[in-house]
Amino acid sequence: MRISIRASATIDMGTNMSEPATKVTIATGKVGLSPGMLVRGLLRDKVTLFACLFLTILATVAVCAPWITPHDPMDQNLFMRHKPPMTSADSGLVHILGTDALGRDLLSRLMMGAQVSLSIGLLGVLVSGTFGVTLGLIAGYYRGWIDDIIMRAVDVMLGFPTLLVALFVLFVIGGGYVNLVLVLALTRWMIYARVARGMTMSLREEPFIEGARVIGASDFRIITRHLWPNLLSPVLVLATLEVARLILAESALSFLGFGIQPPSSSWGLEVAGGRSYITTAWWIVTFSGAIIFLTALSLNLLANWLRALADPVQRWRWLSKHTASQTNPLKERQ
Amino acid sequence: MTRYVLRRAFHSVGVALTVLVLVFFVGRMIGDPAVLILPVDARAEQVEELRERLGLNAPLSTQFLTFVTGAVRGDFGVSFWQQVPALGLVLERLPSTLLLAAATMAISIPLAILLGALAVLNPGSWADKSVTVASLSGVSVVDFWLGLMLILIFSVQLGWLPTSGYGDLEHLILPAVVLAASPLGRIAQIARSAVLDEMSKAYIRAARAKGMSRRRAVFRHGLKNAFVPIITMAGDETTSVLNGAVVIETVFAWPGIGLLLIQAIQRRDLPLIESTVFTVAVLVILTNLFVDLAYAYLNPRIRYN
Amino acid sequence: MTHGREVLVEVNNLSVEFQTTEGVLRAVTGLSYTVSQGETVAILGESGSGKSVSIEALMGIIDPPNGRITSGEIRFRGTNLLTMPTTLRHRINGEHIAMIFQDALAALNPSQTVGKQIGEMFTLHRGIRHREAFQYAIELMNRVRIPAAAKRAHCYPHEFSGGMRQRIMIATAIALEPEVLIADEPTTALDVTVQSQIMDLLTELRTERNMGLVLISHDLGVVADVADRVLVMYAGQIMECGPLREVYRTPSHPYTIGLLNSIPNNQSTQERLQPIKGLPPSPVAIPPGCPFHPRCPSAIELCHRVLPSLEKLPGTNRASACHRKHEVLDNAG
Ligand SMILES: Nc1ncnc2c1ncn2[C@@H]1O[C@H](COP(=O)(O)OP(=O)(O)O)[C@@H](O)[C@H]1O
Ligand SMILES: [Mg+2]
Repeated sequence: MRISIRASATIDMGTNMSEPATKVTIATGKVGLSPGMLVRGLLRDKVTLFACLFLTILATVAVCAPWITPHDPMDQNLFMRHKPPMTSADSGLVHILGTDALGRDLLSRLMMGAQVSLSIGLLGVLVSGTFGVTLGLIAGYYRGWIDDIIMRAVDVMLGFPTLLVALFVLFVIGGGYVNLVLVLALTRWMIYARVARGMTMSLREEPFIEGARVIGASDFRIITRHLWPNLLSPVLVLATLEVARLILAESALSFLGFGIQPPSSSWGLEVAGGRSYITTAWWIVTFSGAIIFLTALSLNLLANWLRALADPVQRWRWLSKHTASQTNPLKERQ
Repeated sequence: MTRYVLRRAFHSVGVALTVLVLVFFVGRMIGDPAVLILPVDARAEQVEELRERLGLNAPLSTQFLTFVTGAVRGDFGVSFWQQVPALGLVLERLPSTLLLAAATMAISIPLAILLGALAVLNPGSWADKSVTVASLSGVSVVDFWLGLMLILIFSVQLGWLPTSGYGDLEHLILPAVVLAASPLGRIAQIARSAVLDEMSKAYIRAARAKGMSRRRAVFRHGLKNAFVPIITMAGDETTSVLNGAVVIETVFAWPGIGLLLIQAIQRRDLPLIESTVFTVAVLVILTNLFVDLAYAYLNPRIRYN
Repeated sequence: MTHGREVLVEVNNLSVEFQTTEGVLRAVTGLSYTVSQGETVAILGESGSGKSVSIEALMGIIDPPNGRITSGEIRFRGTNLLTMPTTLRHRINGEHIAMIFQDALAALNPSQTVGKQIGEMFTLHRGIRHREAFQYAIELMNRVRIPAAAKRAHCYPHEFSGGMRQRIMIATAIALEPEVLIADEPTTALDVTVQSQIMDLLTELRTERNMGLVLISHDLGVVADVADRVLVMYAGQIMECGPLREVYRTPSHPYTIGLLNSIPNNQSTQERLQPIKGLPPSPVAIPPGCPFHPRCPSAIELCHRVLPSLEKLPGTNRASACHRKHEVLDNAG
């Protein structure tokens, strides 16, 4: 009862993370995300609606980029270097966002870059999420020594300066698409392991899991049929947040020259390319960075909204590594 | 309490050792350090001689032992690039990075707590919504881009602040503000939800029944109990700031260890890379340890058990 | 009993609503009652019937935007608290009206010593310095018979037993000698022997200081020996009210009968122990007519349609919100 109250209020308040009930009862029932709930909630929340629209358009553009770029993103034209936005090209087409130092159309490059940046974010999340959730499920379900080992690894990895380690590793094995995805996944899986383990440990004690065990369901069946569906909402929220994080990390690494390598394009790389000309061609850095910011912001708004909907009791404090074990209701370390 | 401290300290040492192992083995994958140091046209005998001198012909286990014992004494070897002990170079640059990190946290923590508390004073109000959107923007900020944009506006266009460099307060402002955006956002979010969480507890209602205004209850009771998640988040963010410093220091040519790391990587200066990564790792580990201890201190239930 | 004692609190037609997903939740509807000096008023009802919310409204701690007082007035010594500026409003709490909560552990700040929390009453309202306030706190702890008070004042709430924690709450509440003391299920979380000690302490303090005491409970047995008057609440509304003895002996509402039948060892009815059938209505979907009709054994067609108003029983100072109050009364008597 109270649970749904909180959820509703968060819809009303748009982007807020929770609502001011004067009493909190810890949720014992599971609140899932139903499609109807999502649509109704979205229509009532303009900010998140815009974020979703933006992301949808962006994803469509990224997928269709090879066919719909107004110019050839690789087409260099030294007569057209550093042309400001809205300059007309010889072909009569307009360079809406201007051109870069090699006379290439910035909009077309950002569209191609969208493909790279978005897919790295998604793939990185897919890899780290799968790996982390699997380990977390195993740790939480079997407990014992395997739990000790996995959680010790999580603790140690969380103590690392991750960006530095990523830099270091990328420097050694070289940048590029695949390496970047792997390194990003390597530095972010721990958070999923934490969430999955915490949820699993609490779910394990629930009667429906006990029941399944009693009637002789295999561990595999219990994990896939009973545990995983209950993990879906929190993991979905977490994954949305992480896509934003990885896109930011990718852009930073590419900016520093350790990520995507030219002539491929990624948003971070475009910012790096425009950096030397910032005083003469402001539009390169401005637009390339703005698109990263807007994407990350949309994802964060979406995640925030999903979180409020799926997780009214705010178990999301797990996302912080210390509070993870220290203040969440499903105590981990101790 | 003592047991708790010892356990956390022990854990920290474990993490530090793991970082050492990682640094060593990944480092060896770069290629033959002797080849890296010598000029490209060096003769084979010269390479061989250097390999012997650097101990690279010994078995990997012996090399590892030498590395670890050296590292524990603070000896990561001589920088290829500058021909002086590598750790010395790092420690020389350390204060400027610490200054930047401290300035960043000094901006973001109080401001974030204030924003969080402000949001809670009137949940659901415009102030509250603005705090949420602002904090999410902070989290989504592309720090190097924000840095470049601020340089464009405040240094190039308006000419108020220097574009880059190190020295007085003027140089500190832009990089610190840029670095503060993301911790500000994250801590404000956690502060808001932590205080809101506290506000829904019975002891806050009891405090108000004692005759306290809502505002006073927020600041007197709610905030203090919300400090545990806030402090832990602040600790996490300090470590992210140390990470973020790598990027921001290059944008602002701030002579800290982040910039040093990039320079070392460009010069393939293995001892310098290793000592930089290790130093940052130690900083991160110390921050985490500090947070664990602060947590214990703030929570009487741990303090007395 | 009624020799012109001053009326302290007067609640008139109070309604409180909460905004929820399922719609508007009417937690309290049209509640009226008074509390006079030296008098103990018990508010009874199953859990969820709106007892705590009505008290939160009285203490001014219902928070917008979710919670809203939609109608009514709450007067303290004649002044309407609801129209008072908030800056003055919260000063009434603690000074004139004080409150004790059900779960003392949750109601105490976990990270402050109990001495400091009791002493806060003095620092907050009287501007007394912390050290001096701490001394007062120790005196109060002695007053509520907490052993080794001077030493224990330095302890944190989790270091006390449930009964001791409730004593700490009481010490805090009586610190400034309030005229009205409200106790929201003060003994629900405690075991039986401790329960009676706490009840004794409360009555003793009420007599000593001539306070008005509001005692909230879902347990008719607990208040039987101490209350002067009772209010029986159901679904946010008063079903029946009047002097405790009369209500217990001859209940005029089927809900009260149901409640009385569900307490063990009750002599007022001859029937065996039997809980009321069914469940209280969801507060977002209170049935039309009398809210109790779906569970009521004596409901007639009228009860499904028309909400009975709370009417005085002639010749008494009792009132009942039952269409068939007279039949019910005759059957009981
Ligand atoms: N802050 C709140 N938000 C929403 N609903 C609430 C809130 N506080 C109380 N309620 C609802 O009001 C009704 C009455 O609650 P309460 O007064 O606590 O009952 P009780 O008689 O057990 O003290 C319940 O249905 C409860 O769920
Ligand atoms: Mg109650």
